[in-house]
Amino acid sequence: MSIESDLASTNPKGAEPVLANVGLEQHLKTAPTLKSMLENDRDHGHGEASVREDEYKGHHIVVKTTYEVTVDGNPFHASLGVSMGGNVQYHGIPNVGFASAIELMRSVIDQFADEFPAVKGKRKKPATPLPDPAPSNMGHDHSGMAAMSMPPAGGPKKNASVPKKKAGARVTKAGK
Amino acid sequence: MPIRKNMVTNAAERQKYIQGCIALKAQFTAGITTTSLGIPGPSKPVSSWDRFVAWHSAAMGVAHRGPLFLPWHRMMLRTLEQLLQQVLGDPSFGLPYWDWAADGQLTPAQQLAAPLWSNGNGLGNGTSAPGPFTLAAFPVRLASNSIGQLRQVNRALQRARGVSAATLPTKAMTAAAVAATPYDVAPWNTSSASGFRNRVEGWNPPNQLHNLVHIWTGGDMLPASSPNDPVFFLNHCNVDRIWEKWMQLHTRTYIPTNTTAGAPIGQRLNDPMVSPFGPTVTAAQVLNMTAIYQYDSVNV
Repeated sequence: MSIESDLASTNPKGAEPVLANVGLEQHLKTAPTLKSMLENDRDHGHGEASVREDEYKGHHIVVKTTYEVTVDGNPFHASLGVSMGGNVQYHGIPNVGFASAIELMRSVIDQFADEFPAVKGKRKKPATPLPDPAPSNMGHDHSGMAAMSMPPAGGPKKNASVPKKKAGARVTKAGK
Repeated sequence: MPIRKNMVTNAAERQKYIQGCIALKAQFTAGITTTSLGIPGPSKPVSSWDRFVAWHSAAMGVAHRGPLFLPWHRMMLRTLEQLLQQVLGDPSFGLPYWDWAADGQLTPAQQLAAPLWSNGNGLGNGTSAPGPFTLAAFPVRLASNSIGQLRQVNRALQRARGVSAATLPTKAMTAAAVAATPYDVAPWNTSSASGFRNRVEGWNPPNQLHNLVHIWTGGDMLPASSPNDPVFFLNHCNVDRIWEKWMQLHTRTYIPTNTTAGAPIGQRLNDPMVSPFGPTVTAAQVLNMTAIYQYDSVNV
């Protein structure tokens, strides 16, 4: 079927295709579907791999990426994905492409500060010193944007997030 | 016929929109509860406004990062427009849009101080000045957590304008988007290297246009529960206006069709889109809405 014949089913006569009804009867028709969509759309952190493929000089490149993230030793139960361009994304902050998984997790801690309470006492250093994350704009076009480490809704909260460096957010696999 | 007008330059439409948002926040239908929507916690009534929050959260996977982004949000906007007409008793009411690229031409300081955000007759800034959307009038009841699960909360609407992004999108960005063809390309997601949809959604290049408005506004505009903020619909109404401009320039075409090889199921021209407020709709059905509503200007 061509595009043109498919478009024959568009709305040429101007009939209203969208009908809005707040009634319970309509709600009950779709509630199971929406409940299922809510359940399925939750990010359960099953370690799904991002697969990037490319053809270069006759060679077929496949890059599979999975992220395993912990914060203060606790698993972070959300799947991170990476685009062909290399920016890291996840459904919890759905409109942002992050320069790295580290930048993403810093924003998660800031945005959902109540889920990451302040840590008391001195944190044990990781066995291997963690390198400083790359600048947020490294290799990406973020024109018009400030750094991508975002504060919680309504602004930063006192003692709500872990320190930015050597915070113990031990990322076992955090590269792109 | 409703005419959708500029939020900034039409005070009457702005005040009607605010009035309608607050009315829908206070509108409840018996039997529609957090339990019936599968949201954890005690069973509480869910307002008509908050049903949009739940709907958007449920549809994150199908309504974003793919071809359906524009038709799905057009369906959502038109649904809200009809509910606002009903609650306002004004069948001619048209959703206003926020021409954010016009503000993007201003300096960052001027953007923050724009009249749209005034406490008196605007939206308020969401931090020091809540404007009309106070905790009493417009409480946030549902919000996404870090794994995208809706949870029950009870707090005021929050914004953090200009914190995570210094400036709004510019007219140069909208011009580049409108010039992009075709509508979309494989692999039909955020990695699509060309096409209008991936550009206007704000993935190519990353963090621009629609996405940048979410980021610049901040606060409740960041998670999947972003329809909590009435600014969400002002942003998407402008995105819809940009799409309308694109279709006027490039014809009302949408790809992938249902016969496009490799097209993701659910994202095709005649695949159904589920609405909690009415029958399913297809992308094909919403491509031409010019007999239903129009914009006062498509100078984007």
